[in-house]
Amino acid sequence: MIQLNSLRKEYDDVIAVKHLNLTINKGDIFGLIGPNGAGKTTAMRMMVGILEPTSGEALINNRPVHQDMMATRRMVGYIPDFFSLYDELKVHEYLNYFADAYSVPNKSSRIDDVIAMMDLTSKRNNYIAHLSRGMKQRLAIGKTILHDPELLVLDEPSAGLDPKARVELRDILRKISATGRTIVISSHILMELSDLCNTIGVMQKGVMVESGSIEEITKRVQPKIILRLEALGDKAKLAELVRTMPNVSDVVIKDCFFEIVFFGMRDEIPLLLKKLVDSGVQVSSFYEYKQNLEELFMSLQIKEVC
Amino acid sequence: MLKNAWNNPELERNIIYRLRPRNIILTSLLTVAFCGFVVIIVMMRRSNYDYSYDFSRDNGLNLFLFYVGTSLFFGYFYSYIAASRSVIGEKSRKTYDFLFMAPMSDTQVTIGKLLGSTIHMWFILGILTPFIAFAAVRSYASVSLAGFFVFYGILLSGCILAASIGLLLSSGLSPKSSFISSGSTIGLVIIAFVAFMMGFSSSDAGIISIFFPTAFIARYNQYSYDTSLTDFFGTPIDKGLLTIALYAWLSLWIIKAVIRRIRNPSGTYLNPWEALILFVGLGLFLLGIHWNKYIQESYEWDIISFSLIFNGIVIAVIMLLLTLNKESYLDYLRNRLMNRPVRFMSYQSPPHMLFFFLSIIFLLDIGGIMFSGISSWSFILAALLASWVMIAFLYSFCLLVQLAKTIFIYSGSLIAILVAGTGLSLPPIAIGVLNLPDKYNIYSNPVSYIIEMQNSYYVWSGFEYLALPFGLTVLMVAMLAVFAWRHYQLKGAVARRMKE
Repeated sequence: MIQLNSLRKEYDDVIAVKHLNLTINKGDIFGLIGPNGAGKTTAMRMMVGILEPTSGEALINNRPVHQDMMATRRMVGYIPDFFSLYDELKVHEYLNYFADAYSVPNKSSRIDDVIAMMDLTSKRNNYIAHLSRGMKQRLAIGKTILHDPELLVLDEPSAGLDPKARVELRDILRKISATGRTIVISSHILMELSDLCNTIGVMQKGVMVESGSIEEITKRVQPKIILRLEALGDKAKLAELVRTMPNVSDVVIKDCFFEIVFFGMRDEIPLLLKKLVDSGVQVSSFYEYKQNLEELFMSLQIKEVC
Repeated sequence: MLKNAWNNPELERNIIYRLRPRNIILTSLLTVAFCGFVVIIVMMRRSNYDYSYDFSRDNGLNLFLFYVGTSLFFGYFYSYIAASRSVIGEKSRKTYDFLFMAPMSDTQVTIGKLLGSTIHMWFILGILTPFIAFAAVRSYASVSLAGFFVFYGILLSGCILAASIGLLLSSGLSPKSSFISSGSTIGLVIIAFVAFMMGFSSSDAGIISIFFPTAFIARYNQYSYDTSLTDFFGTPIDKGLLTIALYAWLSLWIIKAVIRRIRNPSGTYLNPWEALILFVGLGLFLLGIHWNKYIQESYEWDIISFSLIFNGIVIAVIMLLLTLNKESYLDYLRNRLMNRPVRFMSYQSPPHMLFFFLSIIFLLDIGGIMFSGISSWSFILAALLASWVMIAFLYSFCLLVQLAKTIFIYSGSLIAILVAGTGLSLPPIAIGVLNLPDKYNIYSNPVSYIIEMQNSYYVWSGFEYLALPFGLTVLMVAMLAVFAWRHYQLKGAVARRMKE
């Protein structure tokens, strides 16, 4: 669906994006993460055609984005990181404006559907200036999906929203993703992305340092298996015992559990548990620990670009 | 244009946007009332000319045209300001990205914004229509029904020209420059009125011509109010129709440039061939008007033709100069040093472009005089000095704006606007405050200087008339030296950075 080939963008003496290669498949929900100044917004803006790359090219459905901007505009729905709406218009007028611009068929019913989907029915005749931040965000998403685009590019869509509005937004995005659209989303709230996205990309200093599914990246970043064990008894003796078990390279005692670094195969984990039980260890809890996206992000040691 | 005006979502939104604040009606009514007030003031100030007892046809026509013209000039003014904020406004309000991504053609967006900016004009025209219609039906003040329609045509085409200039500013400049430009114009209107109340020029032309840089529109609109016939390539044609054609010609090319720039800030305004066609068209217009003069032995060079060309170029140069910034120049130099292809016009006003423009203007000026058959050396000198003043004034103005932007960068644009506006308005205010003799009115602005300098009498009538061109020449040379030094340093810095 999206292909970025050696994309590069320079602003005066700053290289915002350098040599960015990326492929996003149709139907994927791709999360773009990275510290401030990593080049996420620049990459997204080149993806949708707002910015022209200094070199390289962005393709959507194998067609260069800048070759036919009208076709790109019809194919893409984009929400920038900082935006505002025409405050002097009413909700339905705003959607009507974009419905006309996109030549949406069956305009009235489509507008009604979008207003209902965004839960803005009661605000239909209200001025946009009188809406809350969350409502404006929902309206922006409504406007973005009004023409039924194949690709949604959302830059920090949950920024500035309260927790309730964020949950609502996530629900809306889930609904949209259920219809098979491709979504590219960036966010600083990584837990949010891990819930939503099936693939992620990590950018730093204008370069994509990691990309793929969260599992794939976890495997690359953390090749060893981490097991967590809770058991009764003397912790020091237990730790000594566990260290003697096969395929265990290290044991770290935490507050109320042990963290076991296991270098065997995944199907050998039950054998380890059996051996522990057979050795008389009173196991109360035993599971494989998987890093969440935040921990993964931190383990990549990514720092904000100064 | 009609196709793009019809069923245009952007126009529809603009109309809703501009009509929603209900005060548009109040503003229009107040404008018309305010102009009535100005007319009364003018009548009172011209105490030696009692209009209340002398309603001869000529005076009545003058009064009618002054009142209606001034009211509608505000319409131009509102349109210009609204248009000059339209694209930049979207960017600063952060609504631009959604507009950019909407699949409307660039022409649709441009036409929508252009016509949407002229709403005030339509309102003012609506309020004035009964007055104009009454004058036309009763044939009051020599206003005929045909003249009435030509008059409307001139006003509307003039308004579109003003709005298209505003839109060009808005689509080509940075937010701050555009704000300074439109803000300066607002400031100038206020200051001009204050200067007028303080005693400066009581003539309508004097007031309106202060509204630089829109003086071009104002002055030639006034000229167009004279609906008498003129020879155009030997054929008598209504001056009003010619004016409409001129406005339409200028608007056409400006709108073309806007369409290219509205969603592509690095787009070229006009390519060299298009620019050539534009200027050939203007040349033909001037040639047509002066046809009889050219084919007659008694031809005398008309310096107003010069000022027509100058003012047209002046507006373009001001727009370019206002964008003078280090980044674009550095960008230009960097690409040159790295042997990358450089699109000359996409770099907004690097200094070499400024000199290029100024040199062309000056050469055209000299060439025009050489081939004009002017016999009087004093006239040639007057024309050269006048053009030199225009160039020097423009350059000083641009540097002033640039200086204000640089010094007050942390204090916001408002101070920069005040500095630029005050700098521009000091001469007319000083003339008013110091109660200088009328002859010093030539210094109120470069347009009036050029117009007045057509009278060769001034050139030989005293040092005060030559002080400005000589003073500005010295200033220019000094500034060029500083600029050349900075250019040298900058180039060195860039080269060093590239080497690293």
